Amino acid sequence: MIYINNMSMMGNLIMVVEDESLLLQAIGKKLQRDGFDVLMCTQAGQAIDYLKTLEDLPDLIWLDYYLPDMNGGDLLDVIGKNEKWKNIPVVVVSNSASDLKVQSLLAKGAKRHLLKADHRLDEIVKIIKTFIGKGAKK
Amino acid sequence: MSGQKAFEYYLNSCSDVVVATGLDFTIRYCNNSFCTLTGFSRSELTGKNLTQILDKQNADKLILLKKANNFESFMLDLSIGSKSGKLKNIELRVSSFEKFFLVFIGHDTTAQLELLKEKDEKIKKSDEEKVKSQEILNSIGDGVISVNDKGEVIYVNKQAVTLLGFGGEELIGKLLWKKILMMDEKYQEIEIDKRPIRMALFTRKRIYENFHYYKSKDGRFIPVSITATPLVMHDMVIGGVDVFRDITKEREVDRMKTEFISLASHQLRTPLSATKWFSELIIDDSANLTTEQKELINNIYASNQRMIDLVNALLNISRIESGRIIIDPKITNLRKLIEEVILELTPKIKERKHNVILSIHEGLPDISIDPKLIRNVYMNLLTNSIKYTKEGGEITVMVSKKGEEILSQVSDDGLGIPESQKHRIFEKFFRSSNIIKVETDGTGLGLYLAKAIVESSGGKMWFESEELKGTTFWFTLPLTGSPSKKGEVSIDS
Repeated sequence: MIYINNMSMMGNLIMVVEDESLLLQAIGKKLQRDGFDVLMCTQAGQAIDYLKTLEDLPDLIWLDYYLPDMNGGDLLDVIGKNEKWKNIPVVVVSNSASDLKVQSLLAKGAKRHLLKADHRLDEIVKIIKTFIGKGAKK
Repeated sequence: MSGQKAFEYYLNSCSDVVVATGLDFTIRYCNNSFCTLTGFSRSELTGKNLTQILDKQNADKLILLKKANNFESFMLDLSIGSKSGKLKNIELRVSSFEKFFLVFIGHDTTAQLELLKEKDEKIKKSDEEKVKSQEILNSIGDGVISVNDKGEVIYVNKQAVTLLGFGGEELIGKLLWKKILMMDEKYQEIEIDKRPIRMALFTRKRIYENFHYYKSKDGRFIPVSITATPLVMHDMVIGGVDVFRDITKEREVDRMKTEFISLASHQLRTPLSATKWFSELIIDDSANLTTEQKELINNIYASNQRMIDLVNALLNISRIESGRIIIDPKITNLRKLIEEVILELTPKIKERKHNVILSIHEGLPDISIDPKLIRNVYMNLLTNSIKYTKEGGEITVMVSKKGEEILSQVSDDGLGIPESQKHRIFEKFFRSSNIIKVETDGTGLGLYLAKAIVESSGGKMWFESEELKGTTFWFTLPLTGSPSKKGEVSIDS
């Protein structure tokens, strides 16, 4: 299911791909509070469908690693191969990652890899803001 | 002196016993030696039947003699009951003389026989001991190989044969370290001088070893736990014993334990993240909450954070213990690394009004270490100093070059470690009684992890402390740098 919240066309649009519904809920709330528009996806396939149909592409993708249909790395591959999507900054926020995995994610174009439990939402939002193209919207 | 008298004198003074009997064994004559032996006087013996003072078996032996032909003689061992009741053994030559007399000439063999008997018993006993200890050695589950002072195998038990596949006869007489190869963790052959049995022979100390492999005859590497003990007699090393057991199963259980911790910890992080983020959302939007509610939600946040720290520490420990951790040395400037750590801790340092002094020897060379790991060590030591020193304390970090090592020192004038608990300070989950009272927060895993990191980086860690005066921790890192290690995970993923 895809949720669209706060589509005000005023703030930046963040696509969040996270299969844990409670975590997704917390992230969505935080981003909304901070004035972002949020697209919430629980599966990679939904995110791809959305990207295909959306007129305005998201300003950033907040991506979990373990997803029911494919992993974050595979989704990064799909995004990286699409001319229209490849410039969308992706930040991977997951719960575990070996050094090798992180290196491979960064090589596939992820801007950062963050460990969920090690960061407050505040801190993550601060970080993603640094990757959002200034003046694109808002 | 008549011929008769002279003859008697001669018979009485010789040490051999001489007895003459009739064909029916009635004693006609006996000399002094026989009297002394039996304890009877000559008058008591004369006229007595010799068989009377023999036991039944010996009496039967004598009866055979009746058939002896003239001048025939036999050697005979007889037991004679003396007057005192004691049995005496005599070895006799018996001759039949002109079909009228039997002459017995011989000597007392009692003492000699007893000696022989004793010797036999001793031999029997030592044989028994030998069989016993061999059976014991064969029935224990550990492999046992003993060597002489040169290192040549002199004994191999059944288990050792079963485990290693070499027959006893293949090993006996051969140098243990030449015949059975030992490998390190990377399956590289271990130098002879580093073999436990050789070290035991040279240092005269018992050597324990848990990380090596024996190579079996069919080429398998068997993980073994070894105890090598020198055999010292009269201050001389006469040999050594190598006792070892196969720890394949233990390793497997250990690996499963580590995997379980790793998996469980990762699974735990999801609900922990949710709790962290939801309580953060409430705290951020707490304008409408009462003071008590704010306090409660802060407590939830703090407890959850503690759980996250615990899970992270457990994960790190399982990584270090499993040997899966990557050691990725990079040329590092320690001053920069420590300054970054202090910067990160500055809010806590300010909160507790501590004074932190950083002193780095001029010209300290950059060193090849894994910055992520070593950073964790400084972070742990400094966090402890900050937490366990009363407000306004002084914390000093000193780094200097000492010989072939870089020595780091972190000292404080804090609570110190109680004397009685010093030996437990590097134990997993241990927190000393005096700090638990002051600061409930803490996992008891920090120092354990710090020490494990330092040791896997080629260094050592130790401390000195006095309660209420302060604590100093030291650790070394080899100037040559930490050995690089390929692994699967790093410390904070």
